[in-house]
Amino acid sequence: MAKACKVLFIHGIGDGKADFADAAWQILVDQHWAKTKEKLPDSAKVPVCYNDLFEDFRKAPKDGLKEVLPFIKDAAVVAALQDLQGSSSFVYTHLLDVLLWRFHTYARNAVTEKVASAIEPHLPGVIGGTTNLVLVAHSLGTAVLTDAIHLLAADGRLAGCWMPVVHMLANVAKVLEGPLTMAYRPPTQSRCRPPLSTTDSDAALLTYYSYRNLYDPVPMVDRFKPDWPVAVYHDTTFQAWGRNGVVNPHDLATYVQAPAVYMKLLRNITQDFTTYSLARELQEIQNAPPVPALPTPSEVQLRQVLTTLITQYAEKATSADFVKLLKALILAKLL
Amino acid sequence: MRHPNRAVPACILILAAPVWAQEPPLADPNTWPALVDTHIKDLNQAFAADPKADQARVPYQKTLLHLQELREHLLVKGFATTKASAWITGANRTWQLNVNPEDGTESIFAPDSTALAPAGSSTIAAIRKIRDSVASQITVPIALETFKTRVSRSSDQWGRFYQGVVLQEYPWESFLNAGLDWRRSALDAPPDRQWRLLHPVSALVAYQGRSTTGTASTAILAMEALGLQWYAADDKRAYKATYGLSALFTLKGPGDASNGYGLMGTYRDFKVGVKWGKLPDGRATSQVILSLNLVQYLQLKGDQGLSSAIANMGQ
Repeated sequence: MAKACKVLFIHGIGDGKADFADAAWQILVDQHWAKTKEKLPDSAKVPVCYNDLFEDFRKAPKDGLKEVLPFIKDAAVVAALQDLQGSSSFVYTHLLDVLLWRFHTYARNAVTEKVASAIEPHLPGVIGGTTNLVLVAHSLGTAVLTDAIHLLAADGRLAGCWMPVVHMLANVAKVLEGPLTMAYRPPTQSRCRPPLSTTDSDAALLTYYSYRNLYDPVPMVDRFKPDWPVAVYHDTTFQAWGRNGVVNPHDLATYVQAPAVYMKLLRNITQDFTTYSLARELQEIQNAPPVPALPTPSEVQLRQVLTTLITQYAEKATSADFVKLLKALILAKLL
Repeated sequence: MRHPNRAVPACILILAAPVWAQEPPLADPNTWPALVDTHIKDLNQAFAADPKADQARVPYQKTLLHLQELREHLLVKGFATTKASAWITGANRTWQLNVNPEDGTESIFAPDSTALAPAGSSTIAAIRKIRDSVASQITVPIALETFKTRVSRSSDQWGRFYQGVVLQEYPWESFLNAGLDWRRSALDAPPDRQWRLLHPVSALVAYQGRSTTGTASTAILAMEALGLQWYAADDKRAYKATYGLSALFTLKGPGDASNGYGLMGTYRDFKVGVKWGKLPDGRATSQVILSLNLVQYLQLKGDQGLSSAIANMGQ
């Protein structure tokens, strides 16, 4: 009996619109069509959003301004406060999301539980062998998924079965790991890991994929580098500036468009090990089109900034470098 | 000796959730032990005839143990929920099919070692047959029930706490509480109380005890300097404030000579407290504070006498 495939996408920072996975999914659909003339069923795509919890926090407390306004006589201050509540500035969205996830216990727990609850309905199919569940997380979503899988395993909702596979794009599970559960370091390493030995009964996954775009500065900080067996852990690096010559190396679609990524994803999604064999994947990587010509001077500048950053931080970027890195990215208008 | 009363829940579970079954569940639970016996017999025969028996020994032993446990629970002890859960976990772990995402090869038992699941082994073929039968008729239905139980107990508990409590706080309070409570994981239940810090409060009415203006009541602005607020889930499982106590800082109003301070208690949406300050003539004064909704509630109740009594306090 053919398994029904479900591909759950967990979004990254500030990217929680309902259609966040559409561009990435379209790449997979197009690639699959080009190779097999078959369509991937749209019903397989399941976007998982948690950003609404962060959005609600930005507007909280709901009646807060009403309580505060009587204390403030200055109209300019009142206007500024009102603007702040509806602000969509980078600091008030992306940075606050990271702060909430990393330092706000309750927001973190609510987000973790929300994503775990979104995965949970698919678990009976995994146990019964009727569902091919593929989990794809991007950026902040990798940290969220790490905690969600740990939660599902720790409170017994996995019922002892292994989650088949996770794909972590721009993996920041290490730098954004929680204070209680480390991404992979003992003594409290997350159960979102593949089995590290035949006696590792706590592992919740069968196979773990991690991807890193070398031009993407985000996963450069405090890199995710577990010492896991290569049979069950696959770390993939590639280089891509972005789609259509636009510099956006952190974008979900940029990741999925890389042959090293979409070939693995399609292999898992379709379970077609001939069309998407390892040999075909290597061939696809070699045949990838060259980097398109630079469209504008600003794109040239962005590439230069990023190249400098990569040279400067490369493999050694630590959490302490994060502020410097962030500043450079904001100056480069990349964030 | 079998205990039918303890065996009943398992039978109900088996019959109640046939969604994932590849074949219909057996009508008579009494036939289950015979089915398990058949599986054990088939497994032993397959293992005895297996030329690769040594390689399949571990999965064979594990499967045999699972079947024996299953038989024991059905025949002797019944299927208590906790034991069922442990058995399901072990059986799922043993029997889950692992499709290698790189090359599509299938294995069971040890996900990082295909050597333990040799292809073409008659033992493995027998185990797969057992897995399909038992998983569809026992493991998955019971696991589904386990999920349902968990969902009714804990699903979205943190989400409800976040909506009902965290989003009602100011950011500084929220980060303070979350920071102080950093050891609480998503596995734990949400807390039942929160600190209040520099929390502005409006819609308060102070009933003047010794008024120079003759005004019986005035609206005041106050801030909960520090307080503690308890919360509980209501009938609809929404988190709501229950009771609390706060130290109060009040801003100077029309009848005051200076800012004041006080204590305020909270019960649900209602607030009541005492405020101390100075009158313009320098005399100390004390006032009773009520939230506007409490004043309205008292008047709705038609208890004008109580309102008057409060207004006349200290005269």
